[in-house]
Amino acid sequence: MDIIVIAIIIVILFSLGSALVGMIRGGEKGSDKMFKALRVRVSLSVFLFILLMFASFMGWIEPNNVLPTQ
Amino acid sequence: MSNQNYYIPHGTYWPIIGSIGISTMFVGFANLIHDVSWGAPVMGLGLTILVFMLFGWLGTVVNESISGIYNKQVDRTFRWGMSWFIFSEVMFFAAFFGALFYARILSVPWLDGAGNNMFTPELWEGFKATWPLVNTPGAIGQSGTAFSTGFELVNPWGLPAINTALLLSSGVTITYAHHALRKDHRNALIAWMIATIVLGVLFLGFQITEYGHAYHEGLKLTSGIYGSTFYLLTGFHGFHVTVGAIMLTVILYRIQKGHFNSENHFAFEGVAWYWHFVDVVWLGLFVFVYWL
Amino acid sequence: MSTISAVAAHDDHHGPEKGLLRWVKTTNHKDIGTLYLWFAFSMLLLGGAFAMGIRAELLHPGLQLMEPQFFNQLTTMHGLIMVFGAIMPAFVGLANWLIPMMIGAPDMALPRLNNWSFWILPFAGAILLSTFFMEGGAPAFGWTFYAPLSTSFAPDSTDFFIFAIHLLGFSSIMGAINIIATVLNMRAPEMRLMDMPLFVWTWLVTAFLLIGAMPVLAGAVTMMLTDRNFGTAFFDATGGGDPVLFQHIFWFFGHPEVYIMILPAFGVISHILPTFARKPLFGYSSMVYATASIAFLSYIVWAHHMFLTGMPVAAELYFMYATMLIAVPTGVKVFNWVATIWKGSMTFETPMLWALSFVMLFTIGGFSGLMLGIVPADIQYHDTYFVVAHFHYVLVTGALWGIIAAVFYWLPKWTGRMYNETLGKVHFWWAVISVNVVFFPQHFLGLAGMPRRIPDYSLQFADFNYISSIGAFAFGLSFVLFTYIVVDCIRNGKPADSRPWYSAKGLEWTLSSPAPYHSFNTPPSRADILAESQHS
Repeated sequence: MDIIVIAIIIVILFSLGSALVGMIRGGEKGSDKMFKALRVRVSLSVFLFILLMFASFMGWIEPNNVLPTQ
Repeated sequence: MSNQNYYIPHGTYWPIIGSIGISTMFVGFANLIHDVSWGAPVMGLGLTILVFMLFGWLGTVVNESISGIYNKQVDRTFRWGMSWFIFSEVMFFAAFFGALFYARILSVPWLDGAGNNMFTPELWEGFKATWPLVNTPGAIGQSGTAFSTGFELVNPWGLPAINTALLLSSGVTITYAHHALRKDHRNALIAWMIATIVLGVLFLGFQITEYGHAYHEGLKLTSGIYGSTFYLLTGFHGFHVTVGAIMLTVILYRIQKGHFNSENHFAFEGVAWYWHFVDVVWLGLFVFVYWL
Repeated sequence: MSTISAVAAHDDHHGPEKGLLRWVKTTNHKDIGTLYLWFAFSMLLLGGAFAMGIRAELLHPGLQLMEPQFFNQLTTMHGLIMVFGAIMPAFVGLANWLIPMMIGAPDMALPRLNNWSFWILPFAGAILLSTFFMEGGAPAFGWTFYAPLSTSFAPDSTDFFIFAIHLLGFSSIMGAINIIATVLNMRAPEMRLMDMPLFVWTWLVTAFLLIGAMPVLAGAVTMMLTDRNFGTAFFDATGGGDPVLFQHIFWFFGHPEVYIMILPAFGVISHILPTFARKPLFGYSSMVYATASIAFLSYIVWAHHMFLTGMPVAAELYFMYATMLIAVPTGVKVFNWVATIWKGSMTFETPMLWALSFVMLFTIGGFSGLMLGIVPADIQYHDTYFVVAHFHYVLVTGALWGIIAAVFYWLPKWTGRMYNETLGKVHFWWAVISVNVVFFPQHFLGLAGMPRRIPDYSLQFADFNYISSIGAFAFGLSFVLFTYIVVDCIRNGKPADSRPWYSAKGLEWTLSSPAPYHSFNTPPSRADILAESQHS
């Protein structure tokens, strides 16, 4: 589960980065690229949040609790 | 698009005013820390000068932009400049996330004798490595530690989840605003912008409430490494949300003045990207501070 | 809108304003470059004066002139002033002067921001230096300000030092953003990336390093600030933190930082050697790739400064091998320089003398760096004068040598006048001999075990310390002659041609000497760019 969450975060970071590339490029093409990448990143973030809620509801994941680190 | 058209401004006083402002602010702050009576007013004065400079400088830039003396090349310069500024922000947050991971994965277990046996369990007798670190090594079996100890964890399904929902929704609303701007739907744009700003301000309000709760439950800056990373990460994030909300308000004002259209709206794009960045930083915080 | 009239109205203001306020308000890359260079030079003299104090104390064993605490303040401030006040601003000054001329641009991309980058520096420098006059004295924990020396055991003035570092970092980041925007966006339309001169390339890479590294330093000093004043526990084991964490964060900044200080010098040398060897630069593209690889590697080797902190063996091995790897691209560069002058028709004007001695002396510093990078050997060398000798060979005879070489090479372009060649050569030989007298014996001192940053030493170190101190005084004095040469050139030099060096290549030489206030109003053509390219 942890790995899935981290993987989604990496994809979010990637789409945020490609939005930045679009912004640097500018013009109509860059603007399109930026907007689409941002849309991906927003949808993924919302998905991740819902996934976290669901996983916690199903008991697949526990919030940080005072547990030994090993 | 020849080089000749690249706008090179005349002499300007804004930078020197900015330098005076920012150094006055820091000198005042440093004196405030050391309980010098004039520290706070001097810091306030410096901050005022700095804010005055920012509005003056950026106002000049906005006016120049409206008067049309910037060509495409100047626009590209701003894009490069904004992106690398944001990259520097990423690296700044990276330092604090690095400290969080280092403490969690390496130094706290080491204090309990893990790893290459630099520390033995005898050094901090009775210390158990946990994360979040509720009982600091200094607080166990020793009197007079500088660090307060024992706190209740914030339940992630309380305020943090509400805050995440708020900030993520603001990410959605600004995407709709962006869409509306690209289609030149002015009224929808203004509505979505207002929604974004309101969500951002709500987030800040809840964040302050959460600080109050956490502080009440004993989680303080002085609670050891967990409190340090928790407050510095969320604190700097909150500062960025504040700055982002102010910038969004300025952009909203400029939208109402009719400064942007579907073709020409770099300032909006820059601020929108900044807002998405702040949003993603929060998502990282939410996942790594409260969950994983 | 009034685009055309605004541009026309703007175009007729060429030429500097009158009076002193010109320097405060200026948005011109040459004015700002000049400000940077003079600021850096005055800081160099100040940091040099601190070094003279240090060497005077170390002239003889035993405490001679000052309290140990004041000695520590001098070593700390010497390091900070030289790194943040002299070397870095000098390179930014060179970048300001040269990059727009080399890429066929009218000015820097963000002229107002450029002004602010400079004008933060004097304020930051003043705050840093004011700590000398505070209660408890200036910071005395060395320029690396390791915790807990800088957190639990430091004087109150440390908080002023922290804010000075914030300001200096802010200035560097803005300068770097400006340089990236200039190089990527202001090039003559016909100039491709692989047409750019190497000074431009090395500075582009340096700017990336600055933006990646300086915010991390800001994070480190911010954590220091909260540890000192607000009770956080980042660097305090009793709170679950770790003082070694400070070293990790500091060196994550610190290692890129040393390449920030040397890469632009590599660029300068790659301009001077082809000119005076009358051959094109050997291996241009491999130089570019080597620069980029060095920059990349600099981010993943930081812990080789920390072999003695008790890292896991696997980490020590990794950091050792990664460090050795840097020798490969650096070796490519040195090889290319040697291949450039190989069978060239060399003449030995002053800039060439500095450049040639750079290649030799920097290589010595590079090799001692390799020695330090070997874990088992480093256990012996760590924190001795061997380390001091190593980094002075790379920073004085490396970075500073590059700056001085650049000053002599481009001085005719900046001032429109020639310096006195005889005096230039006298100064070179004076400096190059004395600098080796200062630093070469320090290798022996370090190998014999003399620790650094200590005002006193055992008697067996007396002879080499005496020699080193005498050399230091001679080296310090050479900067009086340097000042005279530069001032004499500005005041009385003979007028220089637009291309004062026979066979010098580069777009900057197509401009008149002194260069016009705005560099290129019409971008150079593809033919011009190719004709002025350093590589065939």
